[in-house]
Order: sequence, then structure tokens, then C-alpha cells
Amino acid sequence: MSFSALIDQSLENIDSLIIGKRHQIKLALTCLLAGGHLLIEDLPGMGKTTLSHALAEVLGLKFSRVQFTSDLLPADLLGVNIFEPQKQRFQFHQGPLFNNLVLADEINRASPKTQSALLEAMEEHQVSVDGTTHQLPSPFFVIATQNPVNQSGTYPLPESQLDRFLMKIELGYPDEASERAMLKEQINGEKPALDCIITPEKLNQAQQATANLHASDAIISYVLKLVQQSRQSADFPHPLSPRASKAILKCSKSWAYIAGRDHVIPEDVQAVLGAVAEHRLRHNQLLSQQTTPYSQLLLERVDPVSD
Amino acid sequence: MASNRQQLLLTCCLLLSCIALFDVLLIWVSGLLIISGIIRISLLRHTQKHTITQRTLNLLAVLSLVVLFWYGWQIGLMNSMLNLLVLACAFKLIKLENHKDFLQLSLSTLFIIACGFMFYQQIIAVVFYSLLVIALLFALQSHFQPNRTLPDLSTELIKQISFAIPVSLLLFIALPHLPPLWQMPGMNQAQSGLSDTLNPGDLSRVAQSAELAFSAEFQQKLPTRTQLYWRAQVMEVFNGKQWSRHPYRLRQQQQLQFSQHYNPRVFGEHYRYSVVAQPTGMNLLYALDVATPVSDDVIANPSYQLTSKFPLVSTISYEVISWYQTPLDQASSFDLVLNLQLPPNGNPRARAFAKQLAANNPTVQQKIRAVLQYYKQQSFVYSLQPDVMPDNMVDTFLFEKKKGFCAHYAASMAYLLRLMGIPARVVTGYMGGENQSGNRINVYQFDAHAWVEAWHEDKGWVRYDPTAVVSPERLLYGLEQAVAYENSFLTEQPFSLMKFKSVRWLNQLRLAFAQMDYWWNSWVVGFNQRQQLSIISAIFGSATLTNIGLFTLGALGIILFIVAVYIWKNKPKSTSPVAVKYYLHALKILKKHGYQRQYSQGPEDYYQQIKTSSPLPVFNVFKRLHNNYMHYQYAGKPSMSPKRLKAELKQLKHVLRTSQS
Amino acid sequence: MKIFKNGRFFSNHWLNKRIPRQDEITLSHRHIFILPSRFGASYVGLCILLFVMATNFQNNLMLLLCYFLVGIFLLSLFRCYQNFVGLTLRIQSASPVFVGETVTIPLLIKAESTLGQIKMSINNQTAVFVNAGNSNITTAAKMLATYRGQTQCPRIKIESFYPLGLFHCWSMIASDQPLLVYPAPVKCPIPAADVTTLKQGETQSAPTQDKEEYYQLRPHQTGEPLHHIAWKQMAMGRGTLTKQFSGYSSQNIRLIVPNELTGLALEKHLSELTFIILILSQQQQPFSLQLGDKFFDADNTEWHSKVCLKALATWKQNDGI
Repeated sequence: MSFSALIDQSLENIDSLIIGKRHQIKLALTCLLAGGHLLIEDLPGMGKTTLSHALAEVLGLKFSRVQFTSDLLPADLLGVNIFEPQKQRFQFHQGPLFNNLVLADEINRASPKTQSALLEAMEEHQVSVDGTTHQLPSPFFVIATQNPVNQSGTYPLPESQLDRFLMKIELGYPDEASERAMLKEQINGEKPALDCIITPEKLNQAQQATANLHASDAIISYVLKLVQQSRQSADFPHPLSPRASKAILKCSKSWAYIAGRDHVIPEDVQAVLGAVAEHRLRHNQLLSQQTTPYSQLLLERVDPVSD
Repeated sequence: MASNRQQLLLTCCLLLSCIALFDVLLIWVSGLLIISGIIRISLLRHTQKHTITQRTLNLLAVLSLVVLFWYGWQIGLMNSMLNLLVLACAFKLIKLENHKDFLQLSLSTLFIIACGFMFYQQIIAVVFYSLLVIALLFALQSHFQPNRTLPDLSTELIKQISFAIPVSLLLFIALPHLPPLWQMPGMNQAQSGLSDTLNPGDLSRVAQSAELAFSAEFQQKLPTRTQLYWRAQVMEVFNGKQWSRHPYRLRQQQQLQFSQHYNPRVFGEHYRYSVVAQPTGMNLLYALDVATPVSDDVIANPSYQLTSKFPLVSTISYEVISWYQTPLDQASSFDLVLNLQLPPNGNPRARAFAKQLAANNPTVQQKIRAVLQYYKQQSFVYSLQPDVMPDNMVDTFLFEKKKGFCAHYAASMAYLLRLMGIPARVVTGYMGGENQSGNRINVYQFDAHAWVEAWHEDKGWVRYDPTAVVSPERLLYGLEQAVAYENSFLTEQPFSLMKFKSVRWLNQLRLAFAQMDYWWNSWVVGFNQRQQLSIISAIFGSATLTNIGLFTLGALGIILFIVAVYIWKNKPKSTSPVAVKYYLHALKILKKHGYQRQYSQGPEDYYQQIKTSSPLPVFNVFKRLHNNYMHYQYAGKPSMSPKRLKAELKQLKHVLRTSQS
Repeated sequence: MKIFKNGRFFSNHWLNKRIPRQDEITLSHRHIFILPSRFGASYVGLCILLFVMATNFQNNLMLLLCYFLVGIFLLSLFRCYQNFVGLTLRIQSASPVFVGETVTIPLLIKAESTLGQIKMSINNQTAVFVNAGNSNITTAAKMLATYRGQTQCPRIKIESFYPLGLFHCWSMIASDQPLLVYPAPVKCPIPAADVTTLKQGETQSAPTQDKEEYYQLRPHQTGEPLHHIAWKQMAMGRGTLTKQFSGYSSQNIRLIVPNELTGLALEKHLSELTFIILILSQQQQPFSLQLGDKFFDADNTEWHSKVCLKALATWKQNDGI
């Protein structure tokens, strides 16, 4: 069974759970395939947690969920050294972070101290407690969620740390048909069970293959043009960094891989750009005069077909 | 700073173009210009910060204008206008601030450069002026394209020049050369060559110059050296001191310009030749006797003289036929009376001498021989450095000094002949010349000469050259040989190549230059309708009106062709690979038929759009082009051959057309 | 047809026919106007003068120079045209601005082989210069917004004097996208909640807000009620800070524009409301807006404030001065 068939199957499965969010699910898978962390920004009740659960199950990953609150301490996340009277020594008790897939719910509710502990772990793939370093399991993914409105009592993620997340997606309201289907299912009371379709080994292989995917000069210049557009034009308050351009290409490759192609085409870039670039372009600008997403503006201004 | 570059260049152009006009400009005007140039350059290089205030400038301008008007009357209208322009430029240069100033100054500089051609027409001057024009264009170009690099601008300029040169040459050759539209105000330029009066001392001054006077190219055979008496003008009035033309002749000449042409009666054999004459500022032309003009603007008059309709302000060329066997036997009774007139007094010894000679020699023939005999027997000396003879010039020369230049001999002989009752006159012109390759003779200013014509009842006007009696070398070998004994040849021009005729390679070099100059003068500077017609008849066989029309149209056609080639050559060339090129072309074709791709639409998206919106045959063809493009551009696979792509494109066009109809 | 109106060469009607409004345009002979520039005309004058002088003095060299200059002139025509033709321009939508600000209409120039400077201007206002090369260039045409309201995008004049300034090549392009100009915000006191009508210039102190949950401190902005200032913090030397209360207030602020208001008074009122909306949306305070018969229900989203601002901008647009 080819990987894209596996992906299709997993998509099918997750889609039956969160109806009508195929594109977002695909983006989330892309993000994980590219080895990056995912930020989901949406209102409560949109299926953020369900999605994370489903992903974990389909990928056969060890999953934990942490609800972030203002009194959550870094130790609650990382783990603590506890003195064991029997052995007369300190024993490290792993926190919820020691899992393959960690769902950090409402990340902006926690204090900056806790946030930065998480972000550090995300970056380093290891945690340090009392001077000893503990390696996190591999693969290690973080799916963080945050609530866009009702920001009172929250600590918005610092701008510099937003781009630690490879992607930021919004689930949004389902369309009428999807919601109808969902409601019907609820009445039926059937909740489809999810199986592990993609094993961690297969995921690892796929990640390798993704990295080696062919990205032609034409694609690279397209990505460059996009990035440069954001730097040249005064319409973009936060131009894209080289890290962003790397992220765009990486995600485009994953997207192409999921689509079953062995090379990247402009549509791949276009498909992922919103998720990869929007939060980097916008940062925490909430009151901005810009109604159309920046990433869309960016795409509109660059011709993918030119010499 | 970018704007400095072109301003500096413009300033230099202006300064250089004015330096080249040094002769014409008043000293204080050029001084003012140089000062303002220095101010401008130091402002540009930031060595000086403060500009001159507007008030000072206005005051200075008014002052200068007043001074210029004062002097303007003396230097002639054209020159004063030119001075005025340069003055204005000098003030503008100080105040060179904005875009408009820059453009005004560049146009003025262009005009000043063009004016330079009125004064200097040598190859070297043209090279210099061309460089100035190119530099000026460069300055303009960098003004309008401030952010381009120098090599970029240079290639651009070279392109433009390489276009403009053939176009200008074609226009030059093909467009009719009009006669002057109206008489322009005098140039007051320094006259060179013969003057319209003969003061015996003057001619020897002319003979100090090694400048070219004219060159003549003979069609078949060359005349012998002793035949080379180039007639320029005839002097018929003697006032005791100098010979000059009679006012009546001047009136006659003016009448001839507007009435029918005068043509002397001619017969016998002839030489046909064309003359390229250097500018003199006068109407005088040069020809061997008896000359009939071929060119239109050349007029013959009853003194067997040729004149031009317009003063020679630039090099001109004309064609002449000289009937050397025809005697000069046409003269009216008025002519004869005129040529016997004498000043009422002066030169008493010459009068006595003439009386004595007349008494001893009854016939005209004898009288003339007696005079010539006198020059021969007395120890007369031919010299370029004659003594000054302010009073009773003829007496002093004939009986005391006995040393003089050709003008002395001619003036004194004509006077003696008139005293003896023989109608006689002085003719000035040139004698001899240097043979060049190809039937050509170059005549220099030092070949200037004067001789005598005396009237014989039976033979008409007969030429007598008293100089030849005294110094046969002058006649046979030229001036250099004739004055070799006193080393006075070209003493005022120690570095003239003429002096080094004995050094072989230098002489060859000189001759090569002369050759080039001749070519330049006859085909560029002196190019006129005559040459134009000769080109046309060389191409079409004859110069009929239709052929002239054809020629002009043909030349314009060639210009259009050059334009077309130029446009085609400069068409934006796409450097993109074939797969991309043909794909883009296909997109253009589809757009024309209403299948527009959005600007930001990706290729796959567009493909899907075509799939749903276009008829199947169109889609099938596009599919192949699309797949080829995608494979090549994104998958890194080789593309179809250009030939196949071309075929596909053709197919696409065809399918689109059929599907629409 | 009004020719030479407002310094414009052609009537709008004619232009709209010849160069229809479109977002993307590839310049072709239909869109390009080319005439000798003023400098070009004086250059021709110089050529004629040289020709006359050359003929009258029978000076061939001057004639040659004259023809050479004519050749350069001729070539300039082609180069200038060639430089412009094939230029692809994409006009993008301009972000809304306030009166008195500069409208920036982003322009994307795709040049295949265009060289030299390109000048962009609207109504002969501030010109923007771009040095074209072999690439895509992002630039913008700028114009001062003088009237509020939603109007058609004005025509952008793009011109070039390449290569020697002898010819003036230009085109007038315009997009279909509308241009939105909000009224200029004018500082005024922020009304308190539950005020039924806000008359111009009227200030009412807000009732105490102690019911609300204290949320955070932020720098004081002029116009905010004085009793919100954190005097304690100020005494500690931390500057003027305002106590902010969490926004889910049940109270909302009603903004009203009476139907009968016209002329200068209307403009002033609209300007003040603009300012208020800006401040309120910054504080995420809900507000409602009544514009004559139109009513916008209370909300505190960004979208709501945009809708309200647009409504203010277009309200009785043509009655405005």
C-alpha cells in the first residue's frame, strides 16, 4: 500500500469524525509529516481536540493532553524529581510532555513561563530538569490550540515564538451539509473507531522521502518571489523571514508527497501558504485594516507561471 | 551623486565647444565662460559651497549685455549673436539647478557645436565635434536614465549612434541639396587668400601660407606647368599705389547674377576639370583661360573671370571647361578705355621712362618687348621679402630697389604699358600647383601670383608675366625653388610639412593627408547637387527626373529597412527554455480565445479550468502542452523537441479556430 | 467632450472606451500615447534651425549634423514606444485610508525588457519614480485623499521619457476596484455607554464601572475618562496608565447620525464618530451605529467597525463638500 493511499484512508477515517474539514486535516497531516508543530486557532467547540485525538490514533502515536491554565507550572508539563524513600534517591517522574503527540489546549491561558518551557521543548526536542537533560520521545509533535477572541486574562504568544509553529490553521464553522451529517451521526450514536493506519516506522520513512522530494528551480524561484514580495511591498507589516521560506518549501514538499506526487508544483505552495505564512505575516495584529488574509494578498501578487 | 555625472559632462562639453570657437568669441566672453565653468565644476565636486546670488548674477548679465552691444557692431551680426548665446550659457551654467536648465543648456551646447562647423571643416575638427556631440548625448541619456550603469548606457548610445549614422548619410546623399534660401548676414570671418585689391606688399604675405587654396581634378589630361595660370580676378584701376577692381565691374557682376548668363565665344580643344575651393568669404573662383562654367551657381563675366553666386563661406566644388586654344579677344570699347586710365600724377620717373620707350619703339609688340627687356637687363631680383615702398611705388621699384615679388612686377609693367598707350591690366590668381596622384593638382596659397594682360588689336588680351623673365624658376618649378637663394619660403611656418619635401616619408605622409583632405573636401564638405546627380547617373545611367525620384525613394526605403532591422533586433528576446516559451505562447493564444488565466492562478488549476470549460479537442491539445510544461518545469524531466512543440501550438490554434466556428 | 480638463488630455468617456478599466493590463498600441515632449519640440526646432543655416551657408557638415540629430530623434520615437509596449501592469486594491492621508494604490509592473525610469502619478499629484529592469517590480501610485466616500479608482498616469527625453510616452490605466476613503478622525471625548443620543460636542461622564472586572493596565490615551487613570501607578512614577476593564460589558455605546444633519456639521460629526469608532474598536468596546434609517447592531468585532466606518464614509456621500 502506497503512502498516499494510507493517507487517503486516514483522511477518510478522520473525516468521518470531523465532517467537512478535509483540507484542514490534510494540512495538519502535512505539518506532522514535515516534522513541525501545529497551532490551531479557533473558537471553542470547533473540534480542535477531536482532531488532535484522531491524528494521534491514526498515526498510532502516544498521546497526552494538557489543559493550559494560568496556574499551570512548567514542572506540571515537564515532570519532577521525586525523592524515593526506598531507593534513597531522586527519581525523575516524566510529565505529560513525554509523549509522541502532545495537545496543548488553550496555550495562551498559561503563564509566559510555562509557555516558554513548552516552546523550548518543542525547539530542542529535550527538556532539562534540575540540570539533567531528558530526551523527548521521537517523533515528537505539539498541537497547540488557542482561542482568538475573548483574550482577557490570556497571555498571547510572543511574536518571536509564533513562528516556532510550522503551521497555524483555523477550523472554522462547518458548512450546512457537513453539520447536518454530523448531527445525524450523533443521533445514530455511532462513533467510528479509529485504527492505527500509519505506523511510526512508516511515518519515519515518509518523512525521509519527503525531505528528498524534487523541488525544481522554478518552484524555488516561485517561493523566493513570494517571500520577496512580502519584503518589497509596504503592505506587509511583517515580512517573511528566511525561516519562513524554508518552512514554505518544506510544507509544499509534504503536501506534494501526500498528493502522491514526486515533485512540487505551484499549487502545492499555494495550498500550504496560508497555513504556513499567515501567522508569520500577521503576528498578533488583531486590529488591522487588512480584511483579506495577507497570504492571499501575497499569492495574488505573484505569477506562478512566468520565466 | 548620479546627477553630478551628467552635469559635469555637460559643463565639459560646453567649455570644449567654446574653446574650439576661440577665434570667434570675444576674449572676455570666453573668460567669463571659463570662470563659470570652474565655478560649476567646483560646486559639483563640493570644493565650493556657495553659489553666486541671483542679484549679482543679474547685475553681471546686464553689464555684459551692454558691453556686448557696444562691441557687437564691430564683429558682425552672426558673431555677436554667437557671443550672446555663449554669454547666456555662461550665466546658465552658474545657475544650473533644475531639469529645465539642464535641457536648455544641452540644446544650446548642441547649437554652439553646430556653429563650430561654420568655422572649421577639417577632418580633425569634425572628429572633435563628433566626440562632443556624442558626449552631450551621453549626458542627456544619463540624465533621463539616472540609475543605469555606465557600460549599460554606453551600449545603448552606441546602438543609437550606429542607427543614426547610416540614416543621416542616406538622408545626406538622397535629399536634394537646396540652394541658399536667403542671404545670411556676414560672418566677418578671417579672409584668407587673395584680397580684392592688389597692394604689391600684400601678395607676398599671402605667399607665406601653406594652406590649400583649391584643388582641381582633370578628367583626362593634365595641362603643362606653364599653362597653369589660374585666373581669379582682374584689376583694372590703378590709383598710383594699388590696383583694384573697377566699380563698374562689380555692378556688372551683380547684374549677371540675375540676368542671362554671359558665355564667352570659345573653340578648339579644352580641359574639363572640377575644382574644390576652400572658403574665402569672397565670390572669387579659379579657372584656366578661357573658362566656361558647367555648374549652375558659377557665373562667367566679360573679364573672363568666374565668380560664385554666393560668397564661399564653406568649401564648394564646381566644374569648369577651359578652352585653352581660344584667344581672349572679346573686349568692348569701354574695356579698352578703362584699361588706359592712369592716375593724374605720381611716379614721374616711370612716366619719363615710358615716354622714352614709346618714342624708341613704334609698335605695340616692340614696346612690350622693351619693357620686358628692361626687367631682364637690369639686375632685378625675385624676392618674398621685398622692401617697403610707400611713395611712388613704381619709381622706387623700377629704379631704386629692383627687388620685388610678382605683384611688383605685374603692377609696374601694367602701369608702364598704360603710360605707353597700350590697354593693360593686372590679373591676380595662382600659378602652378602640386601634382597629386590621379590627375589632380593642389594649389596652395604660396602659389599666389599676379601677371599682366595687354591688348593687341589682332590677338586680343595677351598674357605677359614679367616675373617669369626675372625668375624663370618661379614659372618652371614654383616658389620654393625661386626663393631658395634667400631661404624665405614659409619662414612664418617653420613646422609646415611643406618644408620637408626632401624627407621622403614625410613627403609621402603629407601627400596622403592631402589625398584624404581632397576626398573629404570634394565628397563631404563640398558635396552638392552635381555629385548627387553623378551618383544617380552612375546607378541609373542617366539623371532624369524619374531617376532622381527613384533614388530618393530608394534611399528612404533603405532608411525604413534599417529601422525595421533595428526594431527586429531589439525585440525583447525571451531567454526562457522552449517548454516554457511555448507554454506561455499557448496561454496567450488561449487568452485570445477567451480562456483567460488569472494572474496568480497556478498551472494545474488552469489546466483543470480548461478541462471543464473548453471543448474536448482543445483540451486534448492543451493537455500535451501542459504535461510537457509541468514535466519540464517542475519534475525536472526533458521537454519535447521545439519542432513538436511548434506543431502542437499550430494544432492548438487550428482546434481553437474550428471549435469557435 | 472636455479636452484639457484638469490638465488631462482626453475626456474620461473616451478613455474608458479606449482603455477599459481592468485590473491587469498589458500595454499595446491601443493604450499608449506618444508625442514629442517639450524638450523634443525644441530639439526639432533646433534641427530646423540647423537645416536653414546649413542651407544658407551651404555647409554640408552642419547639414550632416542636422540629419544625424534627426536620426537620433527618429530612433528615440521607436525606443520610447518599444520601452512601453508589452509592459504588464497589475493594479491592486488600495487599502482604505482616512481623509488627509495618502491613498496608496499598489501596482505590480512586470517588465520583459523595459529600461529607464517610469513615472507614476494620479491627477498630476506626487509622482513616484521606478527604475524598471528585467523583472517584477512592486510599486505604488499615490494620491492625497481629499473627500470621503467610495469612488472609482482614479486613473493612474504612467509615463516615461526614455531614452533621451525627446518623447513623452504615457498611458492612463485604472482598475475596477473601488477606492474607500473614511472621514478624517477628529479628536473628541468618548461618549459613555447607554447614552441615547450623542449630540455633537456633548460630553457625558460615564457611570462608574466598578461592576466590571479589572483586567489590565495600559498607556493612557487622551479622551479616556480621567477616573480610569491608575493614580496609584502614576504616583509610583510609572507614567499615566489607564485601568482597563474586561470588555464583556453589557453596556454598549450608541452612536447616532441624525438624518437631518447636513453640510459642514455633518462632516464634523462623521469625523468625530470615526475617531470614536477607532478608539472603541481598539478597546474592543461594543457599539452600535444609527445612520439615519440604517442601523448597525452593537458588536465589538473588527469587522463591525469596518462596516461602520464604511457606512460613515459613504453616508450622504454626494452631499458632502
